[in-house]
Amino acid sequence: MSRRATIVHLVAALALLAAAWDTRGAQVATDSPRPDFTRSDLSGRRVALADLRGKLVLVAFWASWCEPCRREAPRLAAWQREYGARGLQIIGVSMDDDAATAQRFARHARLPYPTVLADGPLGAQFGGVLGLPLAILMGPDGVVLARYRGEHQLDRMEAEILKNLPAARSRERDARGDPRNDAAARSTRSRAPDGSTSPGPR
Amino acid sequence: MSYRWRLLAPLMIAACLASPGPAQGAAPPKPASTIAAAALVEPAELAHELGSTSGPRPLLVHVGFRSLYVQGHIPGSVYAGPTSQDAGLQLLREKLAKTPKDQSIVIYCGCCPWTRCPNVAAAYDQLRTLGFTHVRVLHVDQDFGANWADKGYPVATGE
Repeated sequence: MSRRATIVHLVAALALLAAAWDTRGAQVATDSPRPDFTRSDLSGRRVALADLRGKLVLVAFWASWCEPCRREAPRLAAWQREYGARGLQIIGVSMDDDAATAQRFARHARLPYPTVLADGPLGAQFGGVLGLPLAILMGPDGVVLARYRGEHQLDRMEAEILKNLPAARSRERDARGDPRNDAAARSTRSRAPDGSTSPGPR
Repeated sequence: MSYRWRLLAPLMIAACLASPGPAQGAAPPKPASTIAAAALVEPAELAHELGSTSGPRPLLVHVGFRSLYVQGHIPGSVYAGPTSQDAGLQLLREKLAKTPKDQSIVIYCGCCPWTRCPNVAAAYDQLRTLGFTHVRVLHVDQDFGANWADKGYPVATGE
């Protein structure tokens, strides 16, 4: 290999390393409590974060004028369809200045999750929305797990969603022999509608 | 219709229908990259200028979306946007109707990454067309949060 080629490879490797270490986009605030809000979505249905305890919640701020948001929308929609049954709930928050524009986009993109219109206090609860795209991942236990800013983070987001799905956490506890699992299993058995016992979550 | 067109036409129609969003059919906004480098001002430079007690302060104009202006803007800014829309350009013309043409003006948005911002180039062109001679554009590479607020530069919220 020529000296020039070696330098090119070295520079490329350093660039990849730098990209891998860039954590600007995902600022993890593990101790932050879950923000809470109740709003009507674009269809008039009530959306309350408090009702989503036990679910993995991704609050995704978007706007129809935001090109990266428009590109991300199909991927987020696919996650909701694919992981919804395993405990993921996406809530869209549109930063559009009027509901009609937001509605038009939501219809076009066939978003399978509710979208509410942003307002000042709602944005402030999430530390302020000073640019898009922005998404906040909140765990089933009510803690903010990650804050994603900017584009090109979808693979990392999906990996963290998969890792934190309530079903995945339960399996992890199974593997560790966590006593909370026994409690969960007992609780599931006691709630069985037909009175029979079941093995509980797996 | 040729065989090739019979194959391509349904694909092209499907591609158009699959493209979501209100931007359908509308001309894409002029990208910020079309603004001459000489007209750009970096955040650090502007923050230093605003913090300086000597020299006149430029007129700051937020040309982005109102919802983001409410979330955070540079204190003392005038809101006149969003200039990617006709109504926003009209507001910009109204807000600056009595401003002297040689006034130093800095416009900014920061809604999204610089290469995706739909507002600043339209606002810059409009002000140049109106005859303003000292217009600069704040170069916000990532967004207003990352390139301004996170640096500790002053931010005001609300209307």
